[in-house]
Amino acid sequence: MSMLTIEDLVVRVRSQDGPRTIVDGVSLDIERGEALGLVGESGSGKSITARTVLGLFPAGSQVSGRIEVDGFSVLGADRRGLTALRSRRVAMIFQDPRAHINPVHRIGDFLTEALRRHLGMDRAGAARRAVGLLADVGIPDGERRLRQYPHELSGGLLQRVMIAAAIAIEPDLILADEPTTALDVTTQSEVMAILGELRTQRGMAMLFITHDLELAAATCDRTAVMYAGRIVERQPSKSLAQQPLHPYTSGLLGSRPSIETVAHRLPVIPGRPVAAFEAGEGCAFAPRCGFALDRCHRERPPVEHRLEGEVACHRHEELTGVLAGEPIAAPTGAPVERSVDV
Amino acid sequence: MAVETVTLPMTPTPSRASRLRPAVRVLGVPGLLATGFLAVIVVVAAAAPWLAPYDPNLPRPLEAYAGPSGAHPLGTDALGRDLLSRLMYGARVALAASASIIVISTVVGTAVALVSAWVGGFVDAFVSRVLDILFAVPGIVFALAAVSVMGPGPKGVVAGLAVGYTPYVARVVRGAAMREVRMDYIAAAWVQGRSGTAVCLRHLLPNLKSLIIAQAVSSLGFALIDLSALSFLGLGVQPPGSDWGLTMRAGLDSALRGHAGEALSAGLCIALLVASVIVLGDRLSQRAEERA
Amino acid sequence: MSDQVIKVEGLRKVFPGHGGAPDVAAVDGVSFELGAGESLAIVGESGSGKTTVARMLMGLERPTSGLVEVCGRRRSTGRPTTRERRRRGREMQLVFQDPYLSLDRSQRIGTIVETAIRLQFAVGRAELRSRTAALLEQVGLQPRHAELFPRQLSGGQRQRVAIARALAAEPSVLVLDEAVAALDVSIQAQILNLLCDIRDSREIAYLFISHDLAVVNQLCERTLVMRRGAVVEEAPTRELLTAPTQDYTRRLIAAVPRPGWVPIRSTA
Repeated sequence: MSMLTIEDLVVRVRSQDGPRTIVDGVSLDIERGEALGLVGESGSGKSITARTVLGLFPAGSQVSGRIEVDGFSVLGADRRGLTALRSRRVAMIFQDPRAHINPVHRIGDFLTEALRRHLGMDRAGAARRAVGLLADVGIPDGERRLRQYPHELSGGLLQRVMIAAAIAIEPDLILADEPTTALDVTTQSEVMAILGELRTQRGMAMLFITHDLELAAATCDRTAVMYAGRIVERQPSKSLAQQPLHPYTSGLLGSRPSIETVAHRLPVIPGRPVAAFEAGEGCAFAPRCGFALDRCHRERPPVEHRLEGEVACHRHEELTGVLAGEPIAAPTGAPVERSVDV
Repeated sequence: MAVETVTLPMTPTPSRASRLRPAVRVLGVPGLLATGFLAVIVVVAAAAPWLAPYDPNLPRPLEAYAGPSGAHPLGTDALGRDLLSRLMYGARVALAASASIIVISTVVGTAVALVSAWVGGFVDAFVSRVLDILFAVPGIVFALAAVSVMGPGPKGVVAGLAVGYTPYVARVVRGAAMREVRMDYIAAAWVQGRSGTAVCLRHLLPNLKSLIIAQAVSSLGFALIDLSALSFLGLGVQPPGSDWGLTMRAGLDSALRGHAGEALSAGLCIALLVASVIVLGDRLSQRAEERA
Repeated sequence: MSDQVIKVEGLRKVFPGHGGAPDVAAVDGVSFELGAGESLAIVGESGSGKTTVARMLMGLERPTSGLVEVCGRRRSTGRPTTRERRRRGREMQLVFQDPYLSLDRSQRIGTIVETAIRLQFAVGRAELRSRTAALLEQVGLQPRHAELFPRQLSGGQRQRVAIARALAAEPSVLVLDEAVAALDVSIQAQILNLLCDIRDSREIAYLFISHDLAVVNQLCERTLVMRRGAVVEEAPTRELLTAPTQDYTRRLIAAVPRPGWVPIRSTA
């Protein structure tokens, strides 16, 4: 049985102009011990998807579909069930650790709180355990760190403390929401290495949310790409990077500059990313796609199995191979972005 | 291509309620009521010479302490003057004096705050220190000082309270302006070579406008209270002029003789006006915060 | 050399430590030169001092010591007059990281660009209009965008406006402080191409402040690596990426995710 199963998740949030669809029919599953990368640009709905797994969504949202963590249904759960889920089974790591650690409490209080409350440890035992956890995330002088306040630690160190707190409850599933976006590249490398090690040692599954396709592809077993609230493609990471099935994935891969090659002009995806509620009735990516046909603008492509993964594109069969590493045909004229009216 | 029939949701015909909706969104229902009440007071004050049934200062000793009647809807005072007319004329004084205080203190306080925030350095340090000192002194004390120099009357009270209110405005606006000045768009203006005056007037002022207006409206309420208090003490409008504070003072003597209407009606006027101004000010500050 | 647009020598900035902490040298003895029409990247992680260098160049921060020469003129560190700031604006302009903070939210796009032109050039109404339209077009915006407020634009469009505003003064140098870091991947590529087109169409030098080696590789011929306030290594970008001489540069390169990349812990 999968560790996490999401089926046809739809999330609508309240706004001034009525409910707005942010996530529109997302289905995915993660096996025990597996890491799935969920990649998307702003507005794609990737973060909301992750938060929904913990039952965290903005007040007044309408959520439908099915979310199961190891057989436990999240959407139907009561408060106690959710608390048990959050305190024992699933841990979340956020982009900005500073916003999630109380600045007036010491690191020690932050780390031992969960141990004492959820695992029923005594103060001394919890402190010993916390020092061990800090060592696991590459912080050797744990005893000193426990006495420090969050502002005394760098962003990278604080993120490791967050990870230590996340693994403290020995979860089966970690939801990591852009955990390295605010960090320097060298720190990112370390944090990803630590996460990778801990995962393999403890057999934890991970849902890794990021905007960085290359990072996801390099660190996760499988990668799913989201656009406008839908998953447009999902594949084993290696084949996704080498042989993308969806024009959007291929566009993302091509438009990112590389340290190995230089193009005079980068192949670009014209326009700007849209959110689910801004998309038309056809394929949400069609207005930006160099391969779009009439049909793409009219009909929403279904998710189809393809190779070892899934893709939602009317033309995926003809495009197989065409897209491999190849960027989308450069559009003619200046890129046109549509403006959003607030 | 098959043509499908699409059922559109019914669009309701615009009604009066929907035309009011933008105003409700901006002000909220309490804010809207407060604005309505304020508008009534302003109209009554402006049109008092035409609306007032009697000369507010003309004594009619024979009609002293008349109860409410068709001729005198609110009755008369100890000198037989029509209370409704006196309250209408009193509104003129209350509004004109409080508005003058707020306009003067807002203009001066904003100017000081913007210059201080933009120039920064020791100028800002000096200005902040002076503001701190002035801030420690209640506005009423300035008013008492002004009255002792200029003699009792609305002019001295207005001048004193305007001085007393300026540090409040300057402090609030300076705080917001400091945040604004640290933003990149101000750095961009600096790099481009915009003059200090242009930065203050074209960048800072437009972005702080809603905050300044909200602050001014809220202070209007406090100015009304201070003004009434000073008149009550006999330092503001001098008899036989009409003023709510003065009417309350006279009404106190009447109340001791068993005629409470005078004090009650004047007090109610002050309370309602202050309350509506403060409700409106709160709502505007909330909006300013939401938009920032 | 006469065609040097920026010359920096021994630049230093010390911030006083607060609460009894020792003073911090954010920038400590940085020297470099930028030729006309050239693109130089300053790369570094947080705390490297790269942004402080940019702010000192622009006069937004006062150097503790060192020499800054722009377009052959030495910049004094005193508070410049409005006139002097305006003159400097023709030499060097700045594009900020966050397009949500760098545009005045109360001004229309057209006003923002027009003001930037009027500050530098005495032009008539018609000329002002056509120049504004031309600038907006050059950055890939349409004439109708002039009527909009910043909040009606996407992040990428706002960054285009910020670039148009900087170009309005027709500066010799454009300093770009993490100018594409806050943008979505697909938008980032558009802006990088725009910067590339601008360089092709006019004589302008870029000083590109960034943490992103791939972006730097795309845009700059030469790269300078900073760490803890000091220059670690400076070389042509290709050379720096293929044959770095310094350990720190190697570590930076190794940390960039790419196909087949494995994250490594530098400290056990």
